[in-house]
Amino acid sequence: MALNRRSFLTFAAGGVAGTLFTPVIWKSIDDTAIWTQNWPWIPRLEYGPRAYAATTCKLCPAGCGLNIRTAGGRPVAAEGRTDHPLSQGGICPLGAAAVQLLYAPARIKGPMQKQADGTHQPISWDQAEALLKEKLAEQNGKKDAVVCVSGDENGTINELFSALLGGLGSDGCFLMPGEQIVASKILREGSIGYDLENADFVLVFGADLLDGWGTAVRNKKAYGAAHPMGEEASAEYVYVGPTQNVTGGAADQWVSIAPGMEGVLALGVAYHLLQGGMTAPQAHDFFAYRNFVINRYTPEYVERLTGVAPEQVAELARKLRSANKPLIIPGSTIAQGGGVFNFAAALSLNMLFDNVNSAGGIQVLPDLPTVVSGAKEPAQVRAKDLVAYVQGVAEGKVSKPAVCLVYEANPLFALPLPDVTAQAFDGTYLVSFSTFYDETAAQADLLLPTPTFIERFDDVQTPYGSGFASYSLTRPAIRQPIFDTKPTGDVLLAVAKALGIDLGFASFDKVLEAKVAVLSELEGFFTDKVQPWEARAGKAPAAASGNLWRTISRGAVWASITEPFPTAMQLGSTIISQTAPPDAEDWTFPVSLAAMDSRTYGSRHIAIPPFCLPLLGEQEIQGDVFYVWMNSATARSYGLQAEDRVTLTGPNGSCLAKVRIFEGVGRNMVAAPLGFGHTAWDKFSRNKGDNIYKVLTVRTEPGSNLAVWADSRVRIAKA
Amino acid sequence: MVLYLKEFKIKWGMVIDLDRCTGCGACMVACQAENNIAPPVDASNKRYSLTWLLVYQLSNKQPYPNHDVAYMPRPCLQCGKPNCVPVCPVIATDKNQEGGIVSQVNARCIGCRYCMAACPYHARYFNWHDPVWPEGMEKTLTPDVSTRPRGVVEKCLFCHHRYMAARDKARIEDRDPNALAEGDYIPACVEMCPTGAMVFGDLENPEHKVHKLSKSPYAFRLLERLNTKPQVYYYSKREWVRKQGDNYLEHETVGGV
Amino acid sequence: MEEKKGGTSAGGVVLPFLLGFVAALAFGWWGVPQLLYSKKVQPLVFTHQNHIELYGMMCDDCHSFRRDGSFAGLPDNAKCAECHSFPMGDHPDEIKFVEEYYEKGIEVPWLVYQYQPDNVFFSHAAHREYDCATAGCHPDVGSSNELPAYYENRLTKYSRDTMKMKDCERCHATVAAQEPERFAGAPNACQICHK
Repeated sequence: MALNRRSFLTFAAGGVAGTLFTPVIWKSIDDTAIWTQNWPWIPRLEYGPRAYAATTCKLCPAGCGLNIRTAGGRPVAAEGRTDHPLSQGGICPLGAAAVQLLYAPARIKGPMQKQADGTHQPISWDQAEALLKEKLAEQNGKKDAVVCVSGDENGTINELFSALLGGLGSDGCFLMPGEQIVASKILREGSIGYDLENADFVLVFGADLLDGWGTAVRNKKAYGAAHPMGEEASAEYVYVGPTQNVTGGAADQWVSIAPGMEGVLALGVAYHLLQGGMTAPQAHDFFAYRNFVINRYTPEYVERLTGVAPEQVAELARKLRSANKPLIIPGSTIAQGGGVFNFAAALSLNMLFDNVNSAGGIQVLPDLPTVVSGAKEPAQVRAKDLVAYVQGVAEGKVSKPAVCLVYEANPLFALPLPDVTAQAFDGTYLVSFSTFYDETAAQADLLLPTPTFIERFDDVQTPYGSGFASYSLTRPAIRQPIFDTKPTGDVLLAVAKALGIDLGFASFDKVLEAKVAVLSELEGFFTDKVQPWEARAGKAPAAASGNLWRTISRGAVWASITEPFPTAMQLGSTIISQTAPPDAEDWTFPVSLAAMDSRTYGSRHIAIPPFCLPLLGEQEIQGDVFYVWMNSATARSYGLQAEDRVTLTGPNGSCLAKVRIFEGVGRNMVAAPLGFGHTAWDKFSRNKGDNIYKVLTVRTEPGSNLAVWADSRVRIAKA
Repeated sequence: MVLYLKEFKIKWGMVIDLDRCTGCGACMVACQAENNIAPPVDASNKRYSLTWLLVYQLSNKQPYPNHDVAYMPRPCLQCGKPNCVPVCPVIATDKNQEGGIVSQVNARCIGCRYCMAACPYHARYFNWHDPVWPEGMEKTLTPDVSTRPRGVVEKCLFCHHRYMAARDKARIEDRDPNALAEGDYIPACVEMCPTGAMVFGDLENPEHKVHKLSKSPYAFRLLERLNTKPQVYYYSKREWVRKQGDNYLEHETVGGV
Repeated sequence: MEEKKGGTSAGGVVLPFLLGFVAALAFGWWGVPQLLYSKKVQPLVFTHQNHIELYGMMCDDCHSFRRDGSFAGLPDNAKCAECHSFPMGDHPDEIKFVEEYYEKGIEVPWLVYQYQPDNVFFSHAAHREYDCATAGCHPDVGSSNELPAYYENRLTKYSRDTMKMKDCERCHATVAAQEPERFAGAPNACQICHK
């Protein structure tokens, strides 16, 4: 048979017909469909057994317990830990985004050195440590030539810093500013805590209790427990502060006053209490206090300064008196930069009710003993005023440090007036131990990245605001750090050894073991059966015993509610009268700036994590411009409308923003979030909004000489 | 075919206390991590951001100083009579499993977005772009939820994979997978909430807290008069909050006391 | 003339048609699978038979459920090393396991005949009562002395033996029809298997 056109076509027709009796067509359609489901640029899932690693969060000072969930050994999610008294299963948005931060593009992948052209080039850890040793050796013995700035308020790592600096002849170990420095002006040793869980009336002055202040997640748990769904509330929360921030919005009542006026209102309340016949015979300065308050903080005076009607102040006093366990919490809305006056004035109300070291009252909490030889007491470190120091250096009053070590802190971004800070440290050999490429790291001469808290050992001792002393460990959830990072504690020990300074330990793990060992000499218990607030209310816990390291390194939380030392009862009349602000009005900067510090925007040393970005509303940021909030009356009086572009100007800088009309902001105030305007980091947080730290005003509080900026004022103008 | 009118013996539902929610957003972050949602570089463009759970800010619209604020987390409300289901031409979304969770099978979705138009709650999101994780971050994907390519619709499923896991655990322990106890199955957002503002359980089971709470005079559902019968209830003692749950006229009264 | 033409025409049409038909059948049933699948061998030799018959092991000694209800699937190195942390015999593959995988901390890259796509959730716990092999889900390797060859689809990258959706659906439909009470909740709902 010859192959002609006809037979070829019939052959082909036979082929087509035959194909219909094979699965080829259906199979190819099916497989193509499956193929399209697996585009190579969309990641595949990896499988493996699910496990949890209990640890303690180090992203902010609140010290929440976290469970790092792993799948096949890979951390995949951070969850709350129900067995941790500081979080009780809850979590904040920053903590919830912790695991993804492991792979944030801003991570520094290994040690680096700054080159002449300003770029950072990788070096080895041996080179990096040798370099640090050399720089420190040059300054050995020169008084205060080396300083350190630590953003870790409550870790044992600070002992290594202060001991190393001490060995070099320097006293300059600073913490980033927080409430603790103010508290340390009232209480020379130990710290102040608040037993929220047992209180039935919580009056908060300024402190953003449920967001950026103190043990925020624990506070939220206490607030939630006091407001059970479907039942009557068991405690009333009143917030006295500038805005309906998280606390102001959630509280049962919001009393709006300008930042910095909290103390005046507190003493206004005290006036009503004292007029109502309240006495505090246990306080030996009662009469001085009474005279000072009655003579000066009259209802008219308080109304003129705060704008709060006398009836409302009297009502607060009445509510306090009718409560069984009233608790008054002082603080600054941004948990930093507050003055002693506001703090002491609010605290004095607690003294009037004599609720010190009692259930539902304020607590004097002990500092845990130090373990590193040569380390400073925590109270000494807390009392040092970093902002005053930086201002002094910038003004030339204090000699410029030769070397500055920065750990878990971002002072070139998150100190008031970052430009002044940059100027103060210009010429200083800047060493950053930061995990992330933050603004300080971008300027640093040497980068020695520490692993994230998910990859390292660390610890948390009694966070500020907690109602009880506590200790828990941070433990790595993965075996090896994912980048070429090294725990700062180990770097410090190695460098100290090279310098011939004996800190007494071979590794940071051993420091933590020693820390745990001293707990056995203290009166404490594990929180697995009895919670500290239950113990405070009278339920006796079993004393912690056995191998403490074994128990705590598996995640157990150690707590103590013992009174550390007898406290002399004072209402603080002397310090209050000395620090009371003059009542002159400021017309150059007519608007009160109510800065807001929320965990949604990260923390003092963490920029907004990628996973927190969707939380920002359309009226928080649009593209690269962020919003400042004011009520419609304030906006009208400055000729502004929603969406208008404005500049906020302080004495040393200005910020660009858009106007959001939000009626939950007090009269003649502008509310603005801290944490925007990053210039380093990564594409997720860089160049978004502006840095409000630039427009803050730093003043020195008379009587305490403390640098204060929580009550900053600005000028606003249409841009 | 009226499959979506099916009644179920188990109805998973939430009661969200709007007086207790502080709007912190921990639930939203937990949801993204749990459900493998890629982080957006510019989240201010809400058209492109995928927020299965979204916290809205409510205002009583009074000027200062009488202003009041509330926060409303909005997952998919898992309607009893969902509008999205009958419009789906390919049965990618369905309400057909005991528990009453409205499904969304991305492998089946053709991206026509009829369901998005039909949903009165804006609970559905379209993948305009392929998801992109920063380098390395794909290692944090959980094995429980598949990633979605561009061109498909997605939404909250009440962490359906947790439901399946809870059923499996019950089977292994020789318990009845159709009689889960309260707490056996909880979506990520509810588990993480720091104030405990969200309660989850079987609305039909008197032993679960939500059963009673959903019948409270302070409980309400969004746009109740559309008769979509959501399985998510909100709870507030504030009348103005309840009033914003639907488009009430001036003189109309709302439920509650 | 016409007749001849017709005769030639009939013979000239049928034969090429048949040839084409048969060629297509051969190509479709034999050629395409040859082209579509690549044959792969398992990294190590493994005999189920020995483990079961000589050592009296049960399936779920290795293929076990975890406490959270999920199925562990193949045993990991740690499980194998409960016996094979050092070579028990002199089989080269056993030595290879110990030296190349276990001691180096590398999991054996076993090829799994049944892995499903990421968008599929399969509950082993729900199917416990069915026999893995006779129900048609897995190849019957339990009594085999060697592991069958693994065929990978060059296009989809899945195993040839991966169960297809229609197989799942068919069984769910029949079983549900037989016992509607027990399978209340519409077992063929997409969501049952898709995640």
